[in-house]
Amino acid sequence: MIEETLINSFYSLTRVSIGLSLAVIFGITLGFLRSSLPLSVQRNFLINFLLDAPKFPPPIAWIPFVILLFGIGEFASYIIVLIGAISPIFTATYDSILRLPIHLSEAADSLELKGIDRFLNFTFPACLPEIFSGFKSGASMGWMSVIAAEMISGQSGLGYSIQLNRLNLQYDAMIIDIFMIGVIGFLIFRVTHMMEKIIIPWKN
Amino acid sequence: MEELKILNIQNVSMSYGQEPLLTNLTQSFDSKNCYVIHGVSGVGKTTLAKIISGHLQPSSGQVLLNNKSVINTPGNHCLLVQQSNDLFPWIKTEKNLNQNNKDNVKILEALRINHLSNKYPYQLSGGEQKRLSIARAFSYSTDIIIIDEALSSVDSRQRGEIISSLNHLRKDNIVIFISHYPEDFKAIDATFIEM
Repeated sequence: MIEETLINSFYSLTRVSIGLSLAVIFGITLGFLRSSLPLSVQRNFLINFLLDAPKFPPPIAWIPFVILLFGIGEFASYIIVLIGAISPIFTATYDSILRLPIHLSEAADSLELKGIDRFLNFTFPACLPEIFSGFKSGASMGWMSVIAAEMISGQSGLGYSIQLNRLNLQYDAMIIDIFMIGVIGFLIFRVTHMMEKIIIPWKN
Repeated sequence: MEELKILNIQNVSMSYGQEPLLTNLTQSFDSKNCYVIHGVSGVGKTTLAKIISGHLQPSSGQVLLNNKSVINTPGNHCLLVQQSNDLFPWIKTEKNLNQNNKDNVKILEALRINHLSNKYPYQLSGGEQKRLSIARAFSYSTDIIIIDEALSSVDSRQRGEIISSLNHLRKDNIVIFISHYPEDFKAIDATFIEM
């Protein structure tokens, strides 16, 4: 029973790792792209509605749509994790640029940091603390999303195992799966905190 | 022979909303002298510094560096060392300085932070951070260096020593200190401007 739980944990963790990596790549890129739009576009109600409204339906609501588009399989699971995790990363990236400390921006102006040099040596590192907060929320959301996705459309993983054990009335195994979800979720939380201390030691 | 730099502030006025802060201010600065601007809180010293550095646009008037307007053009004509910590915390002390300046070690020694060159700004005390900000300004050797109350967190004895060292480091820059403690600058040959 434990061996099966560990194998299912590995499947779930692999899916969340891939989906979360996609969310980091797309979330940060889209956040920076949004901030580079002209101010009139950034303040446009319709544009804001189109960019912000899709954040609110929970990832589980997207599952039927994702299955319809991508079928039942690994790729669909990655997309569900991506949907769950991208929103906090995207929002944090965009907000971090809006909230760049003005005295640091002035220092960057005075040092004439421009273009890619400014992005690499000022904008990105200055935004990193807030982006990382978004990443931590995204990691938690991604983990919850993958379990939901596996419960509905999975062929393996802890979410799938819960469903299978429910149908087989193996409640003891189900409890172990739930316990494992909690343990891994906690470990993800701790690991992201440790990563933050290593990557952004100046944050606190 | 080093070129004399002249900063002319002509009839500069600045108001926040209906509240006038600077009214028709006219003043000249040059790179032969060192200046100390002092005055009570809220009189507009920091606002003037931000206008000179190009970070704030005055309501009216002109700011000319060698007869060229620097209004609303933040850039390498002026480095402003502010009261708040404006160092990049992700870069080590020595990397915060201009890497092309051979006098960096001298500057760090003058400010007594040469032993901290391998540390990150967040590992320094408040006073050390301020001194590093000043070191950065002198290292980039811009036309104008404005030090806005940046030494207020250092004790009075050290303040005097640092100011003397900075005066020796000064080359062909226009150096303007903004301070609540004009008496600290008595030891150096400075021009005092009360606002």
